[in-house]
Amino acid sequence: MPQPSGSASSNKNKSINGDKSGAIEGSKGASGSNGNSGDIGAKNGEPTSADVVGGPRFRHRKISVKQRLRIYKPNDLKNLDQEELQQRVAADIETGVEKNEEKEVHLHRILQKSSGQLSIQKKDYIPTPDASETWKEFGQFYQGNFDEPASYIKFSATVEDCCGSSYIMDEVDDTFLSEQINNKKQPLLSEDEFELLCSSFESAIHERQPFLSTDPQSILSLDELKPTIIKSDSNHQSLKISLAKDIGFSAEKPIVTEFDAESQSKVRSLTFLLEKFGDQLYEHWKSRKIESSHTEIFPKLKFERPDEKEEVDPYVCFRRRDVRQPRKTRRIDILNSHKLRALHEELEHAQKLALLVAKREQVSLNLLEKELQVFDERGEFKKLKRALSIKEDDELLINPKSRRLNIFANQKKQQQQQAAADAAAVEAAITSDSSMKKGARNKANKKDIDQCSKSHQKLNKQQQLQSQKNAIENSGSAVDNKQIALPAANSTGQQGPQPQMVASHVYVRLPSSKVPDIVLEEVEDLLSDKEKNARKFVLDKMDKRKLEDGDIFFNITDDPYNPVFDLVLPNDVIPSTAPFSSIASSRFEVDRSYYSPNLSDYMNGTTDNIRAYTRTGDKLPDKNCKVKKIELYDPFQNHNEIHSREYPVKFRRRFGRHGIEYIDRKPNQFDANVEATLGDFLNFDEIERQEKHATSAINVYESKWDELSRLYDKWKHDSPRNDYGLKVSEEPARLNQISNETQVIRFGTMLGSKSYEQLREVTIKYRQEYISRIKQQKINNQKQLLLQQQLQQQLQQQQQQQQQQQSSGKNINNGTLSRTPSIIASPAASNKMNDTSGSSDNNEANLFAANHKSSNSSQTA
Amino acid sequence: MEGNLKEYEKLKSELIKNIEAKKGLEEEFDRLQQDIYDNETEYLSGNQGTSKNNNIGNIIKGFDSFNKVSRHGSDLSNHGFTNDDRLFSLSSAVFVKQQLDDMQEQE
Repeated sequence: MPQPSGSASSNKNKSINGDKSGAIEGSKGASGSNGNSGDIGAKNGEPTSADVVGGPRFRHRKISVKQRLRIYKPNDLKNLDQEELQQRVAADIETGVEKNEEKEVHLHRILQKSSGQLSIQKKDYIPTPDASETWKEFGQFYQGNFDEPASYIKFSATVEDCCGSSYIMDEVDDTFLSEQINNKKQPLLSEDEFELLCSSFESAIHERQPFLSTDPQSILSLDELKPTIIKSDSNHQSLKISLAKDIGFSAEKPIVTEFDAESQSKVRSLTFLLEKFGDQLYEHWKSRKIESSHTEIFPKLKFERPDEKEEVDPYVCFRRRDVRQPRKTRRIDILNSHKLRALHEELEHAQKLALLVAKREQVSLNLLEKELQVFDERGEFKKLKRALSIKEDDELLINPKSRRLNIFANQKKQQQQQAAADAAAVEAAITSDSSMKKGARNKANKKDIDQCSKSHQKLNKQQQLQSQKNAIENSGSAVDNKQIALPAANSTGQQGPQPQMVASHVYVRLPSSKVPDIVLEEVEDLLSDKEKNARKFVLDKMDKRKLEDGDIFFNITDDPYNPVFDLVLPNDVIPSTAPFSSIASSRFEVDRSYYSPNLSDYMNGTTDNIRAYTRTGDKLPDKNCKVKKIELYDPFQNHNEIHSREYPVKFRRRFGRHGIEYIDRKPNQFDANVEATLGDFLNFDEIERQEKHATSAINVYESKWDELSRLYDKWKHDSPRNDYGLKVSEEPARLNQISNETQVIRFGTMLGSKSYEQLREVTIKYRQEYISRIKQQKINNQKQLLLQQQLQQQLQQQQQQQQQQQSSGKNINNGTLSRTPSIIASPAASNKMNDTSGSSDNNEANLFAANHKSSNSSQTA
Repeated sequence: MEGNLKEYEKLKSELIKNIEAKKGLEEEFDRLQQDIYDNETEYLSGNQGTSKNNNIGNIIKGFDSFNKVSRHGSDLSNHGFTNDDRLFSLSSAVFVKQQLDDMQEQE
């Protein structure tokens, strides 16, 4: 008999694997195909096995889940390559089964016979149990009616969970039970209880003595075994009790779950049974246990042991599949443990929920019972009440009509409240609108108004709906807008029938689909939210730190008022710019910090522990200080006297025209240096001397005091500081929230880049001009050359003409004679001009000269 | 007559006591139902506990993805749930009835 999962046929070759059509995956399919091909192998391979031994072409390979294996049907077989098939049949298996299986008694005998004598007369078989007969009494025992449901049957309990005890009584037990224990009249121990006891014995022994079969006599006594039995709790008694307690189930009745077999419900508790029948039963069971082969009263399936691999034992069922162990890394380990923990959490949560549901059902049951009880009692009560004709106590007969609150209703309630508030807002807007409408109504005639108001009511309804639909969230602004559109329509569009049209003329009405659904948040809200979050964050952090500190540390920075720090700026940082300097802010130096234990006393002014210092830093005597309260400067208070450091700004109240009150402020501090610097420019001593020791009237122009006042007037508004006492030149830095140095550098670079740009532009312009000038010059030069040539030609012609004139006749009048020298002189003059001005002038002059000459010559001619 | 009156008083006090008890039970029932609903919401939305790896599944959806290596943000479907998933709440007939009543009321 070929073994289903043996390796005999596990040598699947690649050509089979390659053919993916109709292939199946999974171990089931694999073993199925194994069985098939194994059979085939046995049939085909046996006669020719001797030939095949020579060259095994195929490696024995383990079946893996990842490989696809094909199932061959009988009619596929003839298409397969015969030779290949034969080769595939395990080469080293001569008999068709594995070597160790050949030892099987019957097969061994057959093999011996066949090897001894070649001709086999009588066929031998491996005996198999006769399965041909049917059990005649089947109908008597299995007669349950089962209605097949339309859906799948969902059930998560295993068969073992449902059938109660695993131990099954046989005839021997039956006789023992009826003769030894239940020998009295009424049965003391039921069969179910018997089975429960025996199965708990079994499991306990299996736990305590797993290798009992090696030495059956060493079996433990009942007393030794008892704790294990009770602990294992095979009927889950204690579990059920604790569950009942959790749920609030009355303890009298045992809990019966869906998984509990019907028979188990009547079984008494294990401890009770153990006390009463334990000894007697244990002896019976022990003797059976020891007598039986392999110390198993009932045959059991043989499973693979976790450690040892018994590949050779054919009786092991449910073998483990060999899976390649994945490489274990620390990361994977951590990941897996995380996952397991998460799963555990998940399941615990689910369990909690299930428990809650169970509790709810229990309460529901109690409630129903109570209700029934109340109902019955009311019946009785009513009867008596009528008999005694009592009029009172009617309220006891009626259920108070308070509808029990729904779970969703709780959520919806809030939403509805929100919606109601919004609707109210809409309503209010509408009513205000209608009041405006009334005003308009007075002006227009009645008919129109009636029409109008009707349509408006319609419109209002529409709008109400619309706004409720769309703008319930952002009703604030959106609805307002819409409502504004209405009065406008009312005042302008008195035509009535189509106010919507008119409205759309005046205001753009968005279709509902285009109104954005976004909730428009106000900046204030956002800011306050931000603020809140920041505060919360800080508080959370502080809470957390407090927790971390525990009782060990007392963190003095927890209190926002405490401790008091003496902050000192580094020498090179100027106080006025320090707050705006990112560099300086990290450089505050804390000289010392101290914690004042009674800060609240200080705040209330009830403390005695006050130290006061004078301006110079000398300590005042203790009793001397009058003010114990922390001083807060109130600039609007009259006769304000402050004892601590003065406020940096001074305020002054004055009344202007029409009794308008002004409050001026100015810085309350000056640099001591200012006077010293002034001293460089002004002679204060001289002023003093002049004013105080004046013997005669001082000339206005000589008066030093006047000079000072003039100077003061002149520079009155030229203060380098603004109202806050800051230098004006540093204001840009302050606005940009950077240090002055940075501002200066930035401004400088900005100026630099700006001026560079300008410079570049100017340079480019200059160059372009230069180039164009050069070009022009070249053109001009060429022109000049041409002209000069022309001029020379003309001159030559002139000279020739003159010579001709002079030679032809000397009858020329004075006027013409007086002119000629100037003409002749013209080239010289032009030469002179050439030196002083540009060449163009020269040209013109030449031209002029030429023209003049020609005209002259024509005149002369 | 006297005996009847006495019995009446006795019955009355009994009735009052039982009505009180019933009221208490009703309250407890409502509380439990709310409790279940809240817990369920928390459970199904998958933000319970401290576990960061929430997409291992739950007992409603199964733990199919338990063995899968999860990547960030790849499995968004795990976090949503519908009211049909509220197995625990829906297992109460009272709850279902309340929902139905509510729906009718709204229509």
